[in-house]
Amino acid sequence: MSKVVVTGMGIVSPIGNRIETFLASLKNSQNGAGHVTRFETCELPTKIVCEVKDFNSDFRDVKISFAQEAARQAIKHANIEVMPNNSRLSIGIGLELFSMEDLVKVHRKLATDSDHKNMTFLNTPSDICCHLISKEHALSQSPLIHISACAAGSDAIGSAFLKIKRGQSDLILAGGTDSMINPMGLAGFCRIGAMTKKNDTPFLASNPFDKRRDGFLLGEGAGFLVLESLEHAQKRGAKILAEISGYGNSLDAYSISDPHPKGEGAIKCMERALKSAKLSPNDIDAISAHATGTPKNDPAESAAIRSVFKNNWQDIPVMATKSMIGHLISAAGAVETITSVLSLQNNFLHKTLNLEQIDSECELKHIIDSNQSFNGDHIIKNSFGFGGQNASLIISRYKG
Amino acid sequence: MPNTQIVIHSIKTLELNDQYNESNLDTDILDHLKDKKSRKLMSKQDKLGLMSAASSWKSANLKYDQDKVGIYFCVGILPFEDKHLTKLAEYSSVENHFDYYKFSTDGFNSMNPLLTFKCLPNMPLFHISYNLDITGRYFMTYPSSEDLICSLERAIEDIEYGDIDYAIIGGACDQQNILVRHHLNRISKRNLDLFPDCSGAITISKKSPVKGDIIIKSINSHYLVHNPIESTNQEVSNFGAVDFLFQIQNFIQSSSQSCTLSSGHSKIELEKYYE
Repeated sequence: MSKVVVTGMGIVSPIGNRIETFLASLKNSQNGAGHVTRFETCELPTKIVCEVKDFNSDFRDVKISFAQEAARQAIKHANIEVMPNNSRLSIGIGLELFSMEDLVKVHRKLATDSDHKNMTFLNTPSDICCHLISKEHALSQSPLIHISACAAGSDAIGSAFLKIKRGQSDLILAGGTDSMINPMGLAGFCRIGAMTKKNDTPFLASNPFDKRRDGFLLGEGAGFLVLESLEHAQKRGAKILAEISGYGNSLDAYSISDPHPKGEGAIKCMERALKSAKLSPNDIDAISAHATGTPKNDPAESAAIRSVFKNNWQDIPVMATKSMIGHLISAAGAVETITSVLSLQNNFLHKTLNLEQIDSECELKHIIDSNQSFNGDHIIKNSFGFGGQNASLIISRYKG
Repeated sequence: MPNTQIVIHSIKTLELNDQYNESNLDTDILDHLKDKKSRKLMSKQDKLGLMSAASSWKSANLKYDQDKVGIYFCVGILPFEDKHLTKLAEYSSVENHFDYYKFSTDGFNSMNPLLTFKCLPNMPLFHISYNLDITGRYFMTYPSSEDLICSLERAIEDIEYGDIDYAIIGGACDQQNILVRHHLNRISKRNLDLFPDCSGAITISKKSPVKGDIIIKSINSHYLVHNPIESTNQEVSNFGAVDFLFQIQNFIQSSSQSCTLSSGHSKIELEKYYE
């Protein structure tokens, strides 16, 4: 079976729209939070998010443009001259943009023909983005489209990993894109009580594993990685950035809204990823946690990590990237996988922001005061979706 | 194992029509719920998906390890229901225009929290896994024929590589949904009555076939790279996933020994084992 390597990356995020600026922001502990600027939040309980800055979108549904831009960067970064004929896209993607303005026009029967053409939920279902990217980059096989909520980005990379490892493809552009920073998206998450309400202190609002956490901070963006079989990458002389060495997913089958309190689904996907990589828990050198900052998710993930790494969890540093960029939903796993690749390439782990009072149920080896130097070989990346869909990836240092 | 092949153990398809309507579905779904009250958390799409998946899985009557069963499922786009949207639009507008303040107060307060659970497209996967106690692998995707082929390919690969023993592959489409019909109306010249609410699911594994078993001989996906915004007159294949499952059911019920099914640009070759 083929080894799977990363040869290109592209990103649009709340703390940088190029890999170089994103890396600098990680190193400088940049915080992407702020008040919503895209629409008036008025009396909504949450008025803060992590928006992408300095970005002009061609689509009203900004996640389509985010994906196109991140995909272009990744393909350019990988320096691909000829796309192999078994290439494809593997993408995690969120819901269609649901425009309230359009909805009111439709229900009031006031929509004109021109309105209908421009209505996001009527003429740009989010999977259009997949076909546009496949067409632009001549990715010739059916796109693998993942809609497993917050696990979708990691599932997209995992599916690509399996396709290449199993010899079905030589090259896959894999990643995720999402933005739910719109009235319906923000209100929907508020209505189920999932979001932080720290409106007066946006920079302190996303605090995974901290006693004071009160919900996640919504983010947006896209991340894509070019994955290739090692043979294909070597044959064309590509620069290899890292290796994807394992993937596992699992179903909680527990609750529609809550994770299993002992993290049973999370344990299964981490163990499956380790088995897939032929690694033991002792081989893992760092963890990129899902770490949403919600009251129930963080203890469940912490319990799962302590269970899987029972002999050495006190020695494995844990990163919580959502403390800087918020929760990118279907793009989260992809952007946080890019963070892991950058950690391996640049020999550091970023610190978790706003973690001052560690919750006793979230006891792990957190990176608190400053970034940490890192010369380990394997990082496990967790993503857990609403509705009990869990995915873990293992990103490894490529040693030639 | 000698001569092992990928075999379809069972299939269930469902279409809402004059004979079997949403009210029937609402009653029948109770047979498959661990907690009857959870029905209120389910959209029509969720119910359609669970109904087909549970019926297929239970009729296969297999002994299983819950960690070694995978679910590979295709769902429709935007499963919002009109009754919720009408209320939200009503409470979020002033003089026929959307109003941010009204939305953030009256509109927000009118939103039933259950709406969020009902509109998320990945929820059929939760309801199937929870009610059937399945904790293995999954692939959750959209409802085109190509998506079903991708799901089927992934399920077969996961079986071949030993990640799972059994797979449920299915799809559910709430096509009478107001938003879906708007979308279909824009991209298709076809009669929208041809797009009913429907679902289907098959249960497969790798085994030595016996006489009468349905064998999946080959699957083939030919993807035509296209810009869906420009190609407004092409034949709609958005919901081809369930169409494929109906074709499989028709073949099983027919006297034919083999067939090649197609939807969109994708093909599945099936054969009835007769040795």
